[in-house]
Amino acid sequence: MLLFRLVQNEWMKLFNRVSTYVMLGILLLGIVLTAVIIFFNQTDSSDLPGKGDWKQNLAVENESYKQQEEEAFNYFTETYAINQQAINNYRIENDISPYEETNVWSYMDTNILLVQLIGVFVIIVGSSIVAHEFNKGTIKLLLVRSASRNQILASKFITTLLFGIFLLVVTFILSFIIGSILFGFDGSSVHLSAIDGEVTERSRILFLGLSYLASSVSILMLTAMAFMISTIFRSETIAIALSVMLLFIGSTATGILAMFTDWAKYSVFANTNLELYFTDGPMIEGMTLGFSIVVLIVYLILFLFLSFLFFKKRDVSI
Amino acid sequence: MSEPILSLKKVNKKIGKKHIIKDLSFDVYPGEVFGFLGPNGAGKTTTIRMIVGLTNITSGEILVNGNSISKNYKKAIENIGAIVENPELYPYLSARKNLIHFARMSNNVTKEDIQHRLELVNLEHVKDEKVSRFSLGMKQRLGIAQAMLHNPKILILDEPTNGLDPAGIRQMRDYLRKVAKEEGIAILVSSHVLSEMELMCDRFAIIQKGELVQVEDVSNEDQVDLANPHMIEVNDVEKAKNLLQNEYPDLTIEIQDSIIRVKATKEQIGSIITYLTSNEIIVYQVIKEKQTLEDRFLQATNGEVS
Repeated sequence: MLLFRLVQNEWMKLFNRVSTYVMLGILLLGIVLTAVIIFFNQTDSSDLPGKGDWKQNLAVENESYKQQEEEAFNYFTETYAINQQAINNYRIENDISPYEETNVWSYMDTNILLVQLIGVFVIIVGSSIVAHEFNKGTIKLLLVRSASRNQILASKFITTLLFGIFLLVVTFILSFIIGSILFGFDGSSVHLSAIDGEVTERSRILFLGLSYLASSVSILMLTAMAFMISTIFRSETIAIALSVMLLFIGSTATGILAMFTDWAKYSVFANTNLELYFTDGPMIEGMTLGFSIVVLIVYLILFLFLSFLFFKKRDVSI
Repeated sequence: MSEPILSLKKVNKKIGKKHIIKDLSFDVYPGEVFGFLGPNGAGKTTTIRMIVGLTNITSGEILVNGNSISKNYKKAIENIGAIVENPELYPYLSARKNLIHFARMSNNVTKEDIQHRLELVNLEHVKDEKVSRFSLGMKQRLGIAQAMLHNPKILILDEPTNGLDPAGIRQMRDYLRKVAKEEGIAILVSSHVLSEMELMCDRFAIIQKGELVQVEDVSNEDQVDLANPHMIEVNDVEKAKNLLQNEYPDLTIEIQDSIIRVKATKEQIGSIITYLTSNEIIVYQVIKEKQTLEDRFLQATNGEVS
C-alpha cells in the first residue's frame, strides 16, 4: 500500500537525521537523571512515620481541606478539597499509608514529567516534518509523483504520531526496567482516587499507563496544532514556539479563565486532562468524559482539515 | 512524426494581475531532446511547474501522453520524471537510500532497478555515501537517476547544467542524448545557456516575457543562407578588396584583420575564389560563418536580456 510505504519513507528520513538522536539522547539523559536524583534521596522504611503519626498527619491535613472546601472560590478547588478528604479518610479506615518506600511506581510516577519533554520533541518533529521539505526544496520531488498531496501529508502526520508513541513506549518501558532494578517493588501497589467523595482503588501499573496516556492527549492536540501552523504558514519557528508555550501554560491559563467564565470549558486545555474524569472529577462543573472527547475530536478535525486544505490548494513555488 | 508525448495548448498563467504565461503552445515528441530557452524571468520555470502539477494552470490545457495534468493528475504524472531547478535530494541520506525513498513512491521499482540506475549514472562506487558529500555534478546525476527510476516517457529538466563544470556539462549532454536515443524517451530541457543547448537539443522553443517567440530545429539553415557572410583569408587584403569591389560592385565587402567578409551566394563564392587566384592572390581558406543558436536567440528576442 502506498500510504504505508510513504510512512516507511518518513520514518527512514526521521531516523537518518542527527536531531532525532539528539532528542533520544536528551530523553535517555532525563530518565537516568531522575533515577540518580531519586536514588540518592530514597525514603527507607526507617524514615517512614509510624501508624499513629501518619494517621495524625492526615487528620490535620483534612482540617485544612475542610476549611478550603468552605472557602472555595470555584468548583474545581471545592471538589478537589472534598475528594482529598475522602481519600484521607479511606486511608485511615483501611490502613493504607500515604507514605511509602521509594519503589518502581513512585519512580515511574516522577517520570511522567518527562512526558512534557516528549511533548516538546513531538511538537518539533510535527512542525518540521513538512516545513523541512519546503526549506530544502525536496517537496518538489515528493509532489511530482503519483502520490496525492493528501497521502503525502497524511503520511507525515501519521509518522509524527508514531514517533510520539515510540518515545512514550520507550520512556515507559525503560522507566519500568530501571525502576524495578534500582528501587524494587516494595510498598503500596494500589492507587487511590476519588470523584464526588467516592473513593476508587486501582492497580498501580494500570494507573501509571493511564496517566502516561492521559498526559499525551495534550501533546496530540498541540502536535496537530503545530502541524497546522507549519503547514499553513511554512514557519517552523512560529509553530514550535506557539505550541511549546501552550504546552506549558495552556492548562494554567484555562484554569484562570475558568474562574471568570464557564465558556472556558470549550478551550482545548480544559479537556485534554482526561485523567481528571478518573481521579478528581472535571475542572468545570457539568463537564463529562463524553463532552471532553467530543470537544477534542472537533478541535482535531479542525486542525487537520485546515492543514490538508491549505496543503492541497497551494502553488508550490520554491 | 508520431503522437506528441507532451502537448501544451494555449496555456495561460496569471498570478494576481500579472500575466506570467500567455497562450503558450508547443509539442514534444518521443525520442527528441527539446530545448526550452528564454532569458531569466521569461517564465520557463513557471511553465515547468505547471507541466508537473506544482502550480495550477489559469487557462488552457497540458496533456501528458494524452492525459490532462489538471484533470487526470495521476495518469499524467506517471509518465513524467522531473527535476525542477536544483537537484534537491536528501543530504543526510545516502545515494542508495535516496533512490529507495523515491522507488517506494512508485509501484514496481525493484532493487535491481535501483542498482541499474546507479550504474548508469556512474555512482555505483559511492552509493552508500551521504549525498551531502557529493559534488554538484554527482547530485545532478543522482537527480536524473531518481527522475528515471519509474521509467517515465518524458524527462523534464530545469536548468540541468547550472553550476556544472565543462566536463560535467559534457557528461550530462552525452548521457541525455544517449537516453533519448536508446530508450526513446522525450527530454525537455530548459536553459538560458544557449551554447550548451545547441549541442544537446534537436528542436527548441524560445519564450520571452511569457510568450512563445518561435519553435525551430537546431539544424535549420535554409533561412539563414544570405544572412551569414563568408570569411576569406588571403595574403593581401587591400588588393583583394579592391579587385572584388571592381568586379562585384553589388556585394558588401568588409575587411577584418587578414580576412575579407563577403555576403554572397554559394555560386558567387565559387567565382570569387577563381577570380582572386587568377589575379595572383593566395586564398588560404574560406569559411562560412555559422549563425549560432545564440545569434538566433538574440535575433528572436531582439537582443533583450530580460
